[in-house]
Amino acid sequence: MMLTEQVRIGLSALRMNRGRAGLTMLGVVIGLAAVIALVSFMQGLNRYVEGLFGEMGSLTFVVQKAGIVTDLDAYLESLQRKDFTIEDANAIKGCRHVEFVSPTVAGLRSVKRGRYRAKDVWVTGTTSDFGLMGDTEMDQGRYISEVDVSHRRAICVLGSEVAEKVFRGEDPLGEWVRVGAHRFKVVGVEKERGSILGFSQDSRVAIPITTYEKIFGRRSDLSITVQAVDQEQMDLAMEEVTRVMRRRRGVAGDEPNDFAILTSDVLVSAWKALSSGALIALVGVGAIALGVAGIGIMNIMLVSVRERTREIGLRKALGATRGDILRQFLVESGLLCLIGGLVGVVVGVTLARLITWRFHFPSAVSLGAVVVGLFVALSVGLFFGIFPAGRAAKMDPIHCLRYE
Amino acid sequence: MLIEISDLAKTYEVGLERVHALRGISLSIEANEYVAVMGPSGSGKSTLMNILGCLDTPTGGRYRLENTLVSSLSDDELARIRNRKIGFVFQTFNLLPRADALHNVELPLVYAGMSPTERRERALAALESVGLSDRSHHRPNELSGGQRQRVAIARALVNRPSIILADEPTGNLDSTTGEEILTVFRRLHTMGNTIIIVTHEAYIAEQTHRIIRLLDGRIEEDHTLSTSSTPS
Repeated sequence: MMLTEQVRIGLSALRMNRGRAGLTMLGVVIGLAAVIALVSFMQGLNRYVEGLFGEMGSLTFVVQKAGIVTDLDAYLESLQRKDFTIEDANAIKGCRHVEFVSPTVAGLRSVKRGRYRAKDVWVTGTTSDFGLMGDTEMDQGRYISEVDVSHRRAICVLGSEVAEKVFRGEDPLGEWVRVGAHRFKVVGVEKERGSILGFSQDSRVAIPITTYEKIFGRRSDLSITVQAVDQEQMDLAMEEVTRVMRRRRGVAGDEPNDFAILTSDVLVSAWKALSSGALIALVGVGAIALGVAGIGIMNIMLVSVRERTREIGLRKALGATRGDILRQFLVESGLLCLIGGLVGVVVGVTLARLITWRFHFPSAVSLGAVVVGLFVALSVGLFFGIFPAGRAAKMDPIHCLRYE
Repeated sequence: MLIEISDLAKTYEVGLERVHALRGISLSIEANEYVAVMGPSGSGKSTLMNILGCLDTPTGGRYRLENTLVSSLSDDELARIRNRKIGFVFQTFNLLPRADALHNVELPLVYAGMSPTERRERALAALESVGLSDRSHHRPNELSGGQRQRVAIARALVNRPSIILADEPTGNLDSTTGEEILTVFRRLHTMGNTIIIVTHEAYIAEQTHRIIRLLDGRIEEDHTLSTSSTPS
């Protein structure tokens, strides 16, 4: 008997019990929709992160105490390491292959002016070089100067969102704001930088690092951002900085570095490791959901086999073999799951698109995920259909025909 | 010889008890006979029908259908024999409720692996032979009892079987409609078909040419009526 015939029979059987079929496939729909949507977000995020670090450029790298920590021992060990200081940054400044060096520390504070207030502002203590690296551009006024740093001046540069929140259209230049409990004079306002993953990049304030340390105390999380002279000298710059730091930190010749150098490549690969871990967890959760859905399908198929006992008897009497009956019910449960899977894919993709459209959270629907998803759904249907279909195939036609 | 059975026995195990449904039956039926099998309930006539229809296998004896020893075939081989050689007509019609008359009649051909176009032609011809060509797209619930049974007969005919086995075919019909169905059977017999009807109604049995009476799993009487079994 041909597959098309089986599919026709299966579809008409499902049509017969539309409501029940719909409810049964709901498990598959929800499971698959969730997995497809989440995988889309993961992949969207992946692409986004790659783009982001690509943009950050292969010219810059960051020197800090701890690298990307993946286990507790490494974390505990990194806590023992010596802190970086502003002096370390100054030492790097002397390197031949280095163009800009900027030590930075940061923390969340609120910024106030009179009754206006911006909460959870990312306050960075840094130096004039920071304004020359990366994507910092001024809208009004100036960035932090070397004199600001050497004199520990209480001045600040506002991100555009902070300026908007606490000045409401008034001219901020020369005005005073409170960062935490301390007064700072506004010397500049940055251009708008937009948002990443829905988080504003303009909710930030820069102050001289020396002032930061005076007011908020020395921080152990000081990191040093370094920009090489050009692309060709990137590796040389990293080697040079490593050599200088090893000497300053007293690392013996054969010992490993007690600090880390992070490049965009390192960050991207760390992100990938993280996200592939998350992906595995996601697939696991999806598998559990589909397993539960499969049990529901097995149940309904058992009910369906029982309900159609007479039909099975009749088909056998008219010449259906065990294999014919087995395939009939397998095709039916397979179709049930495949249709559920298709609906799940549509729902999942729509969900991903909708969230991307509404919240600008990146997503990328991959054909691979859709194909694998549908294949898995079909397999669930076939796997959990085996038991009911086998039961149907083994039924005795005489008893079936007498069954009321 | 179309059907040859010798010393056929069927014993069921019901719990610890052994039930002898058939205790050694021998008979032969030629092509184009019109036979009635009669007997009170428990006489073994249903068991005999099931074995003749290859739905069941005997526990003893031999059954040859068109020189094939079917008493020793496997499940799937029996399914193939049922598909090609036997047409069933049931008391309760047993039509698929969601399928129209045409599709119901096509069903045996589906399992015979016939192409859709050929199936359709054959099924339409079978429906025509029972006078229902204008009802081919009606579902069973849109048909009267007599029409339903005629669809079932068309289904039994469609594979051009060696035997048509009818189990109380008029049991669920009123006497007028029952008579109508019997007319169809008579005509099928005239056209050369072999028909075996299980019934407990004497007036139905009298229309056939041979009456086999069963009692307690044995043949009590095998009586060929004066009108010969050859078509007139």
